[in-house]
Amino acid sequence: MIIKTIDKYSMVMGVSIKNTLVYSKEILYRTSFMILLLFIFIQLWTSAYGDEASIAGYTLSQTIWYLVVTETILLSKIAMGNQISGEVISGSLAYTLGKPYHYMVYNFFSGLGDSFIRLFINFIVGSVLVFIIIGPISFKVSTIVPIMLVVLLALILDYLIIGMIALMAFFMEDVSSLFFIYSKMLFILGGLLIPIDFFPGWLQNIATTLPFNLILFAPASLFVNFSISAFLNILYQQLFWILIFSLILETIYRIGQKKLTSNGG
Amino acid sequence: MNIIVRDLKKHYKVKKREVGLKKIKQLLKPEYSTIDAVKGIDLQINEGEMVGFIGPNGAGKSTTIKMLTGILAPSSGDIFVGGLNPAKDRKKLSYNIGTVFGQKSQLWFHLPPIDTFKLFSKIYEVDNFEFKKQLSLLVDILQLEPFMHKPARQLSLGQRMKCEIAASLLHNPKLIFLDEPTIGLDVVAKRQIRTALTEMNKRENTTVILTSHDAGDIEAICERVVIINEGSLILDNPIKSLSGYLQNNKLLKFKTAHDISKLKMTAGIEIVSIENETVNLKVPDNNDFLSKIIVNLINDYEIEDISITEPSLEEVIHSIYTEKSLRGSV
Repeated sequence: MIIKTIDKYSMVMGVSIKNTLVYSKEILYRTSFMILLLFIFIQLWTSAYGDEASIAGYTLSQTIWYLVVTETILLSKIAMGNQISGEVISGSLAYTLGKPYHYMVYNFFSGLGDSFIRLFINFIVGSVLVFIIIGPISFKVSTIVPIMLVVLLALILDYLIIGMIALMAFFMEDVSSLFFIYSKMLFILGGLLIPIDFFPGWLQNIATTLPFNLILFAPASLFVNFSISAFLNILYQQLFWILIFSLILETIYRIGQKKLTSNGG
Repeated sequence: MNIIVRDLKKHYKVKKREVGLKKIKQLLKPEYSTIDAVKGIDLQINEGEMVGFIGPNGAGKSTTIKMLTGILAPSSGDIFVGGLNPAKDRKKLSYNIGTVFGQKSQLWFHLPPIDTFKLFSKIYEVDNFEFKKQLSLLVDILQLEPFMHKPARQLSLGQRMKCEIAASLLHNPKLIFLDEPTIGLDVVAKRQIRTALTEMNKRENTTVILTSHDAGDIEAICERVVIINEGSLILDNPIKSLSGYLQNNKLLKFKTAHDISKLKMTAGIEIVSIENETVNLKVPDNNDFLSKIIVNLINDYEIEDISITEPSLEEVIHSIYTEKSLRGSV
């Protein structure tokens, strides 16, 4: 039973990977965007640092490598939001109800396959660029697994938030404004461009209390400055929010499903 | 898998659209109007039957199919599909039913259909051996081999629909629902799909339920036809009784500038329609009788473009919709 379920969803992911590879050109476009962005921020941060050796405990090299990780996650995270909300609005979600899978789980794995490919390519391209311009960063091979785990949980957490917003389409006519707000939250309170450690104290408190930092800031800061205690701290927080959001998502999904089956598309 | 439907009803609540100031009132205290999509349908379908649902747009066909598959919950009434209640046991039932909805593709657009097939075999938890067996059967009867390794987006409509049908049959469902499976297809593709469905029915005793605008589909596949109009079942007959109707009547079509409405009606003749001087008459299929009528018409009126045709099933259905009693004329 469990094996068949794993089999089912890993196949979804496999097909999604295959599907992404069809769009190889599009991946290249996205990657060129990443190169451009990193290039600009390398210039900006280099002049901002000037002669300073470090700001808020980050060296220039650490800040730039931090950016590689946040940008990689942002440009590679699961991109199913519009599809889900679209299917809710058009009512075509109903057609999937007659299939033996959980709609939200199916979409997660369908997005994850695609996400893995982008993650891999974006990270390689970003790293090569930064390696050439800024130089290497000290990095222990043993930290790869915990960092990858944190990145995976970050993707799950982001998907849950995106999923909750997308399913709000059951109750609202248009959810694009919510997506917009969320993406701005992620930019600022998630620490996309500036590590949260650089923020003034009060803003740091807000940012670290909210879950957004666990999606970009947490994995990136762990990558540039790994410690077991920081890793565990992030892991617990991520698991906590994932649990909460999963419950909320499932609740919204069930309410929406009931609405759909009682009132049609 | 058999189906029992008892007094099935479905109504939708729709928010009233208001204009002007009433719009604000609508925000605060929404008023709803009710639409009765299905108004009490009773139906029994036995295992292995092939049944065609026909009816005009908005008649409630799709709504009924959706309730039978469990993706829409009935407002009242009972449904049992293989002894299960579809709305409650949707997941359990899904392993035993297949669905093809013309409007919703199940194939991955950029990938060859064979990838979707493999994925579906996992989703429906079909073991490898069974999957290979079923796939080779479907490849054979739907003739998928030439194109199932090409990306779905490059396939013609007919090829794609064949793949959709194959995808729905991979888990060897005991019951399959097809909503408009041959819409927009050419004659050859239609015929192959019809043959495939009949073949599956023969081999596996699959129950087939089909909606279509194309009376030809129904004629070719189904043994029984159910006509739904305005949410009610208006006819549930073996297809033979409809073809009996076809054989007993001819359609006489001609043009005349004269007022024909006062035409003396001999027993059995019926005016079907008069439009722009074109008159359609339904006449009993009897050579002597037919020639008499034509002679009479030519003597009495100035007539052009006369033709005699068999009424198509479509016309039969049309006359049923317009509430001409069928039973009386069979």
